[in-house]
Amino acid sequence: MASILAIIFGAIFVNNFVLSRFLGICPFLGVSKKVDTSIGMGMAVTFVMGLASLVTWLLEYYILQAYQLEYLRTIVFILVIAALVQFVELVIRKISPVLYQALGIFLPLITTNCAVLGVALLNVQLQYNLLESVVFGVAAALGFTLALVIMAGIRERLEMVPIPKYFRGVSLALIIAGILSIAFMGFQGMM
Amino acid sequence: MKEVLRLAVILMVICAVSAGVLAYTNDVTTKIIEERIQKEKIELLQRLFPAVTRFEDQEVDGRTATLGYDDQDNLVGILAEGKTNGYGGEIRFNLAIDGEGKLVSLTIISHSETAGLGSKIEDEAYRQQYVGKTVNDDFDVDNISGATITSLAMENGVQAEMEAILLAFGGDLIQGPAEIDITTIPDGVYTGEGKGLKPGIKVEVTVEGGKITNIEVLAGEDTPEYFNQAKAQVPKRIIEEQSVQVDAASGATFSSKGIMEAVKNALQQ
Amino acid sequence: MSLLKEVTKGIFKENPTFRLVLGTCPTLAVTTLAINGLGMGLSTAAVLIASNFVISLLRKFIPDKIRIPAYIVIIATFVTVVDMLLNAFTPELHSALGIFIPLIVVNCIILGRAEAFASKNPIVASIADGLGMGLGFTLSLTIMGAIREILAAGTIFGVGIMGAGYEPFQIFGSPAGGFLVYGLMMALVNMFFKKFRLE
Repeated sequence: MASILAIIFGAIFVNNFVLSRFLGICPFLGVSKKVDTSIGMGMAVTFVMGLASLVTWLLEYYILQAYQLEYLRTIVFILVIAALVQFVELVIRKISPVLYQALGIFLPLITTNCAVLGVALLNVQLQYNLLESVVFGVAAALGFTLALVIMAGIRERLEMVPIPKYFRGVSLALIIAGILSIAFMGFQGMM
Repeated sequence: MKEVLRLAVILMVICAVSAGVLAYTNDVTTKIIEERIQKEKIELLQRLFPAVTRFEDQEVDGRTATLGYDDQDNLVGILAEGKTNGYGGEIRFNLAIDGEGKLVSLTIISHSETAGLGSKIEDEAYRQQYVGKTVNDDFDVDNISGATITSLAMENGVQAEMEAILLAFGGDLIQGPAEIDITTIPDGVYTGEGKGLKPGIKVEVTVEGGKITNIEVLAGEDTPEYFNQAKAQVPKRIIEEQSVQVDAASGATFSSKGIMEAVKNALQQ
Repeated sequence: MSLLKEVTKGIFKENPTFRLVLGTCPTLAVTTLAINGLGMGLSTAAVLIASNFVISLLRKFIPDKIRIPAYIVIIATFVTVVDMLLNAFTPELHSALGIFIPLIVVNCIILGRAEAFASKNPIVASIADGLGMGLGFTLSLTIMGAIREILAAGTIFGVGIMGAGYEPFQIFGSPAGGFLVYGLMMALVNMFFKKFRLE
């Protein structure tokens, strides 16, 4: 139980996927302009990352390692994630149009979100068991969401602020992310 | 339907070609990678323990180690991984222990300590402080200023892991005591001391009519878990076999050899 | 002449790192040392050139409906090949880049160029495009790696250049430093392009 809690806390705060492991930076910069959309994106990513952790874990241990096919890992994982995203999109559209409206537009973007493939590869590297993998996947996605929402909150406030013209846009976003990352370094001693 | 089939076939062809390419590349590179790892390992072992001519990997209780042997098949070095919990998370390190139970090298594999403070455990000067120590030595080295937790974690972690590694793999490192002729020893009660993993094993041996009739283990500072196993088995075996060189209790090699040594010392007085 | 243009646009005007802001994850993650930036850049460039070549070659053969999964398979194949080769021949670089080698698959530059360029253009132009983008990415990553290495350790490609009295800025070796250097460089590039009216 303690190790599960450590995984959750570690993935959200200490080794935050965006601010410390540098995974999922593209959507972090692209979808962090509004708090609403960033929450939607976060939810979609959390769902997909939890599911992807589960499916890739089963594939890794029951197919790839069982038949010594580890060298096909990258190709299998990315195809599974792409298929999974398509599948989730279809299912959500059928069963809940409301949810689809909220999450739908983010789903195609998730395939190329390196946090999803990243979490699947890290689960293998860190030799997590099935439960730990799923917990790690969901916690990492929550960490991603947290970073995204904080960032969006800051950027919303910056809209009315005069910014030196060369720093507008991505440049300033990166510098803010740097400062957030320094803040998150403070969690390091808590493990 | 025909259209779907056509798409599926094309995608299958692409996947099949790609799997073929990967299987071939994997075949070629795996050999190179394995050869490299073997070569690096033997080079490392020979640098640390010049006498090594042969090595093998062993696994005991989920812990793996590389054991190096010289040309007479004596164990001259152990290379194994240890870990401890530092300030920022797990610290993983490699320990190299020579045939006399001394630490020859400590290298850090990975850590997530604070950059500039705890990360100094990687520094040669810091790691060098541990070199030459045996498990019984004092592991209190100079702390890294500003990183007390990291320093303490390293001191305790290295010692504990070294002990565990020696317990798991170091069975052959300590030589058992040589035989002595019990029949020539006059009747009486003798006391002797021996050294297990830690010094301070005391025994009382009773000899009657040229035979060991009783052994009391009076004291010992080894980890109780192992020491008690040795205490339960070794004296009984010594009395049964009338020999100070008996099989050690499995998993408690050091304590067992310590008790044997103590009995021998008692009888040699 | 136009081929040369395909190459230079990737290095300069459409630089993937600073102008298109693609492939940000590896840009930030591996640039703690100049050599890692160079290694990552060249690996990505190799995958990009190879995948652009194959996709352009097969562009009439791959039906539109399944083009994305087909591209992903092709790209993932090359990434895995590069991964294995790095592991076999440059083990130190392989362990320094870690999971960011397999993550080249989801580097938007590669799928982006496949979709936007290689699927519509002849083979030679596609290779030129891949070469240019790849070199642009390599150049940006090497420069970022060099800046962070100098600031954080006082060395460049492992060679000390700052003298013994130099007190390194540890922060630039940490994740936060990656964001800060990238942000400041981006502002600098913006300024450069605006000043010389290059857009």
